[in-house]
Order: sequence, then structure tokens, then C-alpha cells
Amino acid sequence: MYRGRGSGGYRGGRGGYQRSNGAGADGMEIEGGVRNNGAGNGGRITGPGEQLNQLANQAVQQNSVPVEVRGWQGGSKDDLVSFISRKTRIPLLNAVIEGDAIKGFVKTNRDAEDLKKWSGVRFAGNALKIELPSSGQQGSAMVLLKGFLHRRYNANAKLLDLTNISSDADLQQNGAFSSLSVQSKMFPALMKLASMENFDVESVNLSENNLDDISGITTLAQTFPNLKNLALTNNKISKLRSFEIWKNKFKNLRELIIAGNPVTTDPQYKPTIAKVFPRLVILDGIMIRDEGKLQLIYQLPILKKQFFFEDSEIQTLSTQFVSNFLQFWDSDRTQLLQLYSPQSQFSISVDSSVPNDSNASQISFGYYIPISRNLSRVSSERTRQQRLGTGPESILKLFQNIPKTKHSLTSNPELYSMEAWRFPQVNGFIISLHGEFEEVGHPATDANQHSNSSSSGRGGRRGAMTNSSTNRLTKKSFDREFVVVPANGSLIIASDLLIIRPWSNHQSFVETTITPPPTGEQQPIPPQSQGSIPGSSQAQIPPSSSQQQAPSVLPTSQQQAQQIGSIPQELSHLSPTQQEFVMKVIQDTKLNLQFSLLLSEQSSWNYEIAINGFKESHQQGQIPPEAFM
Amino acid sequence: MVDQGYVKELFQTLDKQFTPAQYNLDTYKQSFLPQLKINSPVILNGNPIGGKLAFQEHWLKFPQSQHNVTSLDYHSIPGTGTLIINLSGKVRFDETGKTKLGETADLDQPQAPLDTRNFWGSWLGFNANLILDEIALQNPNSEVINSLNWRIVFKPDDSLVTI
Repeated sequence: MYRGRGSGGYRGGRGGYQRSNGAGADGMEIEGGVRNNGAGNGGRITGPGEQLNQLANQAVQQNSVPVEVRGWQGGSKDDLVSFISRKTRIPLLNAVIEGDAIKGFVKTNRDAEDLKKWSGVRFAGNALKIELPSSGQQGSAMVLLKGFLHRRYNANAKLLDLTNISSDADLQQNGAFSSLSVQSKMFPALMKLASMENFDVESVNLSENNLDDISGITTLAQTFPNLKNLALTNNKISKLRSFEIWKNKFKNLRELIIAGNPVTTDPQYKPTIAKVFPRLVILDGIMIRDEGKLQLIYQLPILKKQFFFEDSEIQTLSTQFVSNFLQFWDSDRTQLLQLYSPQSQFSISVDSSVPNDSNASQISFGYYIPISRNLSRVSSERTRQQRLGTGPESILKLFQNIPKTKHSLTSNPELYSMEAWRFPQVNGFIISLHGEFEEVGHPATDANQHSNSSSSGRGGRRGAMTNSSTNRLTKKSFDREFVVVPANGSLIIASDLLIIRPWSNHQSFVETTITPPPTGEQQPIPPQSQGSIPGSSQAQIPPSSSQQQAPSVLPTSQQQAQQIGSIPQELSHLSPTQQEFVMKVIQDTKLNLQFSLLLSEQSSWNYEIAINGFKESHQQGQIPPEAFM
Repeated sequence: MVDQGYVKELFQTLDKQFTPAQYNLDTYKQSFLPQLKINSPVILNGNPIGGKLAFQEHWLKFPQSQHNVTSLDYHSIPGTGTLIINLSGKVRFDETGKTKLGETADLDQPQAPLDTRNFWGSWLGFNANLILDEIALQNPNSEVINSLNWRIVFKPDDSLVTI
């Protein structure tokens, strides 16, 4: 939505420029940065009003690149603008005089670079000096708007009171309203600044701003998605439909005032507004929903509990079992084989499509895919059989294909969740464990190479698909289900089913209500239930295995290091800020240079839009593998 | 062979939408996971729910859901006649502010006809464990589920539903 508006607005601006260029409608009558302090500002002034306009334009048309021209004093500003346009075929937009420079904007970075090459060209007897200023030059306009925001922000009340913006004396004095209307230009700029200032805002008052539509203030939803109260009193909003753009955007909006707008007379007013804001309780001072009932509707009827143990015996057995098991799983998996009988089974499933908190670089399943038995993906009966480990020997083979790991159950039990209950048919119990681990070393054996050499049908093909550059060591989440049978004073694992999925944080385990400290059955894992885990030996990556993997991993990491450390040639036409932007995109998405550049440009250099767009496309599987480094 | 299709159908029973034409309240409740045995333990997000009827009663209070199973693996436990299943996937909930039966929190709204349209929130991640009798392979619709453990393992920040 935002992007569409921006580019549409831009095209309009461009056309406007070209028409006005000849007619001289852009011409400034007062030059030299004189401030017009008088009332009743006319349309044609330079000064902060015009600067504001530029700033606002920039917020909407983010692909305007600033340029500064000096040494122009032989002619007028208009002469210079038309000279540049004629000579270089690059239009200089929104030019203003600031001190000894004429500042304006060009369409793209490439235009800016090209224009810069004209530096030294003679104009009215002097050599022009054309420069690209570093960003943050719109000082006075920024200060003006920032000052306004701070005047209108009440930190105690968490209120941003933007009532009647145009009545602000300071903005008025400085000519802020000469050429901008609140809704089309200034508001997006204000919202941008408000985001940068990190205001803690629960309420926004936008009353008495002559708004005839909400399209100019839609950015409110991006800046304050968690807004609780909003007042739009006494504006001129008339179209009910225009609110649809906010549908399910303000998921916490509790109170809304639209009174004093024509839209309130629409017969569908109340039900439509109620639908757009699912958590709205009070509309124009009238209760429209039962808040308690609403709470219940959006709250699952049972509150999550981090741990469940059917009884205290199960609790003792399962917590001891899990901490011991993970200790050896991290340090020496061969020690675990005594827990598996000849009939015991183990298999692993990769599920990269579970929603998660990982960034693209963490999603790396190359080591697991050749041994993954995920039956919703693996259909060949033979492969399914091959990937099922039965008995200690074949189970160990699978274990050795799994990267070396580090769990933190003992030090950070809050990252884990567990259920354990009895399974009478085996005279034992089931443990279902959820949590996360770090991969700290490459596996003892690599199934990719293995299956390539044996090239056994489907397995071989899959192996060939996962080249070793995708095998990064990252943090992962897992769900592991054990069937445990007590026998002769020890425990046997009859079945062990492990799901590996992209890392998610533990928020879904954290209990929401404050309950009295649990006792007895509901107690979290007691730390004394198991000996201390020697951390030092596991934290190190065994040198032998990392060396073994070194040839295949090295190119990737070198390439990465080089790209992050220095600016690639392909970005030299960008401004330093934009170069930095692209490098950050590369770093956070692990997209290659070309795609990162594309993403940056498409986002109009808005980082949030870039990253969200990336996440969305990635989740929908729309980004081809070759787009990544 | 327990396949994706079978397990998918089990979870689809949790996602059934109420329509007065198709169900009365009792038959609607009974349509949730009818394959559970009467005394099978069910655990939802770490809470023991008791047997089949208690589960169906609880599930009625959940918002309208949509499950999507994306991984599935199981072992047959020798000598027990049972299969143990570990699966993961995504689930999302209706965010139009109504219960499964169409009740809203709206005040002074005239009795509107049940609106079955949903507005789905973002996907959550879930994990589930099932113990099935092996006869499920022959009689998929009989009471073959010995236990169900269901847990949300990922919740996006923008989900209206709190867990």
C-alpha cells in the first residue's frame, strides 16, 4: 500500500515538475534564505516551509537524492536549474537556495552520480561545484518538526496530541504550511520522525485537522501498531470505506472517537468500524463490546503451562532422564547407545515450514535433509525404511550425521518445555520435549557425501541437491518424543522421534498468569535432579571434525567476510547511506548482492519494508535459492 | 501405513465449522476427534484435559482453527499393537471476534444470522504427539487414539489470540 502510494506520488511530482519548468511556476520570488515571519504566507517563499516540503516529499518519495551546487552566483537560481536540465538532461527538482549553495533533488543515485561528473562545468562564467551531501542535511526542517513533536508529546500520559496541527505557532511562524497540507505530506514526515524518536505512545489525538480522508494518515498504523486510543474528532472524513485500509492493523485499539465527521451518519458506520478494529470496545464514547467477553474470545480457554508431568514419579524419572540424555547428546552420543535395545527405533524429521523467529541465514538444514524421514515429504517406501534407525548400530549411524550440539536445559530451563505421561501399553512413559540448541560442530559423518558416493536412487539425488555451502551451523528448535521403558533398574528408549525446525524463541512456553509458586507435580525441573554438566569440554568444536569440513565451508565464509567488510564495486553509484543500507540487508537476509540491491530499491530504502517484504516472500517460498549467497 | 492424508483428516476434525443446518450443539462437539477413546488422556499446552468428552467440551471454546500438518513421523512399537506419532505444523485462528458458535462480544447488536466468514490471523507453530492403535490402519474412523498431546511452539507477535 505504502509503496504503491509512494511511487504514484512520485510520478505525479515528476510530471508536475516538467510542466512547471517551462512556465516558471516553480520560481521563487524571495531568494537567499530570507525567513518570512509575517502572517498570511503566500505560496512562493523559500525558507523552512519549502524545506519542510522537501522533507515531506522525501518521506513520500524516498528515491529523491539530494544534490548541492555551488559557484552559481553568476546567474539566478532559475537560470541554473534550467541550465543543468538542458546541459545534463538530469532535472534538478525542488531547488532552493541555502547559504552559498543551491540544493535540489534528482531522481536516482545514478542521476546524482552522473550529475556529479559535471562538476567543473562553466555556468555564467564560473565553474560549478556539484556535490552529493551526506544524509542528514535537512537540519532546520527536522529540528522544527522534532520540536513540534516534543511539544505535543506527553510521556506520562503516553499521549501524542496532534490536535489542530496547523495552529502551532512555531510551525506557522516558520512557514511550515505555505505549501503543504497536513494530511498529504507533513503527516508521513511526522510519523517518520516519531518512529525515530521512539516515543512510547498509547493514545493519539488527531482532532481538528481538516482531514477529509484517512489516506494521508495511514502511516499511523505502521508507526504505532499497538495504539490503544485514537481520536479523529471534528475532521471532514466522509468515506466509511476509507477505514478498510486499517483493517486488522490496530490490533489493540480499544477506544476510537470519530464524532464530528460526516462519516458517522452512514447507516453502516458502527458495524463497519467494529469490523475494522477487532479489539475496539468504545466508539464515540459508547460501549460497543463487552470487554470481558472479548477477552475470552481471543484467549485460548486454557492457559499454557511450561511443564506437565502426570505424577511425581514420572516427573523425577523424566527430568533426570532428559538432563542426562542431553548432556551425553552434546558431549558423546556413543555413550547413549546403551539406552537403545536391538528393537529400539530412532528417526529424524526436518520441518522447515513451521513458522518461526529465524532469519534466512539461520535456516540451514543441509545436514539433516539426507537423513530426514519426514513422511509428508519422503514418499518412497525404501527411503523411509533406510532412514529409520533400528537397534544401536544403525541408530548411531544416524546420530553421527547430526551436527554436534549444545543444549542449555540446566542453565536456561525457561527455554524448554516438556510433557511426560504414562504409556500403559509399554509399562513406561512418554516424554515430549521442546526447546532449542546451538549447533557447535559439523557432524562426524556427512550424509551428503555419503549418499553421493553410493548414489542410491532418490537418496543420492537429494544429497546432490544440498551442496555443502548450505550447511551452516546455526541455532535450531526441536520437538523430541521418547517412549521410555523402565527395565531392571535402568531405562530403555523404545522409540525416539526427533523433529528439527527453524529456531523460535520460547515465548510460547512462558506462562502468562501470575500463579503461586508451583508445588509437587507442577514443579519445573529441579536443578538437583542431576549432576552438573561440564560445560567447557562441549563448548569447543572438536578440531578434527571442523578441519574435515573446512574445504567446503571456507569459500562461503570468506565471501561473506569480504562482502561485509568492504563495499563491492557494484554499489559504488550509491550514496554511503544507501551502501550501508544494502550491506545491512545482505547481512540480515543473506541474500546475494544483486538481490539485496533489488530489495533495497524496491523498498524505497525503507529498512522495515525491505525486511518485512523479504520475510513474507521467503515464507511463501517465492525467493529462489540462487538469490542467496 | 499411516500417511499424511490420514493424520490430516484427524486434525481437520478439529477445524470443523459450525452451521446450524449441519449440526446441533452435541453433534458438533462430537465431531471433534471422534477417534479418541473415551478415557484417552489429552494434554493441551501442558494442561491435562481428561478424556474425550472433556476434550470436546474444551475444544468448543477454542476459536475457529485451521491446522496444517507439515511433518509427520511414526514408529510402530513392537509387541504393543500401537503406533507413536510425532508431527509438527502450523495452525491459525479466526480473528473476527466470535466463538465457534458465532457468539460475539458486540453489545446491542440485533440477532444477526451466523456469519461463517473467518479472518485468519497469522500462523502459529504447533507440535503434536499421538498414540494410535495399529488397527487404525484398517479402521481409521474407529476409536483408535490412546492419547493426544498438543502444544503451540511458536506464536507470532501480531496474533490477536493469546495462548
